[in-house]
Amino acid sequence: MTANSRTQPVMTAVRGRRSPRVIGLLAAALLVAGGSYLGPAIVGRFNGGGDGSTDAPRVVLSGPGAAATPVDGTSGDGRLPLAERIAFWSTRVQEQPSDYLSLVQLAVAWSEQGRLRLDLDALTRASQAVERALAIAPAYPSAIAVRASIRFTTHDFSGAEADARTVLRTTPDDPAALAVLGDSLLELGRIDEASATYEQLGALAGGPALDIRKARLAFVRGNGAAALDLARKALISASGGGAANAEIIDPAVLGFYHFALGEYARLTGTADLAEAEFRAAIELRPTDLGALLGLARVQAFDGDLDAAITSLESAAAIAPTPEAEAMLGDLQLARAASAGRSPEARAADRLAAETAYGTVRLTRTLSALAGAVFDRQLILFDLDHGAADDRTLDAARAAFVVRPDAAGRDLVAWALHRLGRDEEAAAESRAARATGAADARTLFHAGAIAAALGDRGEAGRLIDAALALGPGLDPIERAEATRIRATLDSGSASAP
Amino acid sequence: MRKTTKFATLGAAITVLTIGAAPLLTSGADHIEAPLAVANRSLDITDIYAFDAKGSKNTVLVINVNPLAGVLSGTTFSSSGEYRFNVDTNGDFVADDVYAVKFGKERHGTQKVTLRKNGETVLRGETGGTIKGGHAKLYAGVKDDPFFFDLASFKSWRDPDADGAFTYTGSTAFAGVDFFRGTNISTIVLEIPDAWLGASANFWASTVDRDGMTIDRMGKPALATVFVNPFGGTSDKDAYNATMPSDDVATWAPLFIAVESVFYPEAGVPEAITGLLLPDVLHLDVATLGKSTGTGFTGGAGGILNGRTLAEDVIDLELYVVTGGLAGHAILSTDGVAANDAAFPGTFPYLAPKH
Repeated sequence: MTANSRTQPVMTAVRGRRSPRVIGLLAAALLVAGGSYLGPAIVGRFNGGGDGSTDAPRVVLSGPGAAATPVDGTSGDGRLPLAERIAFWSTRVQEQPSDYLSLVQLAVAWSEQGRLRLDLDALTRASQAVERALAIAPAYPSAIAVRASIRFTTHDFSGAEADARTVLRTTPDDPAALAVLGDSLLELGRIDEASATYEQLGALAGGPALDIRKARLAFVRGNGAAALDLARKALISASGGGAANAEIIDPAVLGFYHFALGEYARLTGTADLAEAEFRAAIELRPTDLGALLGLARVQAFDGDLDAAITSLESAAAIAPTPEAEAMLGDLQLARAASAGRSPEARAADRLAAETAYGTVRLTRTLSALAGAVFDRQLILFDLDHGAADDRTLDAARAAFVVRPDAAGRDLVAWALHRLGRDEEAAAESRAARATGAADARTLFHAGAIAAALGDRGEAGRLIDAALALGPGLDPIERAEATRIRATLDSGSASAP
Repeated sequence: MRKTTKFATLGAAITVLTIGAAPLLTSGADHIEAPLAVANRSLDITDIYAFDAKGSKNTVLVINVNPLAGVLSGTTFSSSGEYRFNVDTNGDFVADDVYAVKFGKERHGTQKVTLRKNGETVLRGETGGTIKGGHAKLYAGVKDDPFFFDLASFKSWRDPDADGAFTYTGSTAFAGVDFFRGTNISTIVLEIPDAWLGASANFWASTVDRDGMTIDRMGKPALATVFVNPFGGTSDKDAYNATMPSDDVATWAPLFIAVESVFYPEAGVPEAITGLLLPDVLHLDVATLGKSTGTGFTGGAGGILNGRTLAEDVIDLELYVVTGGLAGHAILSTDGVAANDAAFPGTFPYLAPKH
């Protein structure tokens, strides 16, 4: 594991040294802000090449699949690359602006790009396209269903819930609407309602997309082992269950299930399995952001800072998310502090860390959408990098109102702890864990709060449980947890 | 007009595309999502055709799948399912001959193809080229979608407020924009001797999955679209697809009559039209097959649709017939689109090249 991660904030402001990453992010923000609605250049009329197929029984939410080839941007099922599909629908919309059917399809294609690349500009375009469709056909259920999905992706969970319910009033057994409804309820912390919705969905359709939702439900309720089993089951069925006649499916889809299993393996402390699954996901889709981030976490846990930094740099080059940039900065500072590093290399590491942290700080200023999508990552960054103040607490509380789940409450607890209000923090932390949440971060936060209150027994138990989950803790969290654990052993209380 | 599933491809079925917003807890605070864009469109029949092969004593039967191939659908055939040309030669609406096409897995852009007649192998070959032998010809691959229709105007007429409940009260002034311009499908074109059909036959297509379950079936254009889900909401299309043509009248005639009663107040007319439409098969009078033009819908031998050519404007005919034309008060008689966007070559495999 990382021997020398540090928790001290970097106080140096980034001035005049914005990396290309930052500039790229700013350019994207300008597009978002400007709301320009131009499709990509027309690539030409599509011609279907026969390279893959999509095939699954109707009632399965995601098809059985088999071998898939590494691709990026292409669907792998014989469809055109995503950019060309976007161009196809854009052309139709330009030819006939009242064609709301094509506008909905355009929204679907943009939102696919947005989800695959965490591309906020694409999500904005998706949202614009679907709103244009709804301006023409205000009650069109398919458009409302697509908007529900986009709203979910852009963290408007209440809006997504409302849209899904609207669709379900017309078609009570629409599996897509039920899926978005269940997902939204889970984000809104209404676990039992989410569970009931998934049961309803399960009565209509099975398959890996349902299993992976149940995995999340199990994890949120604190049952990591069940989550891991369900993720494994989802991957097996997404892979065609080994059937010789399984059809080829979209590599991005198969990659997702490898990533999902990797993530539950990581969160439950199984580093080897996590690494193998993240690598499988990246092989299928080299731009898989989640898998690159997960791999970096496992590599950092194993003490391979260079490899972890390389993985994070790949992730940040695709989308400079606050999560990736913050960890990049943390690991670069850790490397700067490691023994045997030359003064020049240390200076370069520190500069790179400043740039990464600067990118995080810029993110919140880019657009309201960036602030909404990355709200928790940004708050957590401030809390773990010495920038906590009353405004951070307000932001955590506001984020919890939008998304009142266990992780949101834990963030409020952590903000209170950073401000030294540990009695209140303990109450919030207990409430967060009341629904069963037992992930490494929540346990670590609870332990640190108990330590600050002088309850050494409870603190030791919680922090040991968090540390036992290995790569479930981020490097910076592991370093702080280890430090607090040591103070418990040495008999001195920990201060926030 | 085509079947509900085909229209729905552009509406309800696309929700399958969006179902994959599968959230996953990452780092305890956030989630990431993946698209799970998987629908069963390679077994989704868009249209079937049956016409005379000019200059020979052959008949051409066509099954198209993969709506908007390459954009909404993939471009390959299912390698686990089966595509069936069902032919009833004695008029009982039970298949006497089944021409079944199966495909291998895609390799380097092609798939192996096998045609069996009643279980006996007739042809083997690969997609993308003409396969000949045993007096039969087969082509399977991506081509222009020969269908033409102003889908958006139709949907606006059927459901003007687009709330999913159909009222048939929207504007009858169609824009005349062919939604299917510039789009492709995957086609299976089978050319067989007229003698294999006899003097007359009934033809319908079906697709089955790896477990032998019927996924889709089609005979006459449009029937499921207009009649099976007549007022929107939850559809019976899966039940319709699972029905054998020999059971169509008993199962579906009451619904068809109820729908036609909306457009025809005249006593007995809804029943008469339903009698024309069910069972849901294409009737083939082989001697006169494929000679019908636009007006042939009710004018063929025996007063029934006789096959279906690629160029035939079935939409105009069906709008006219379904909305009151047979009693002289058609609400609609045309969608404003008169022809396909690509010219047909007139030689095997007859469909225009892909876009």
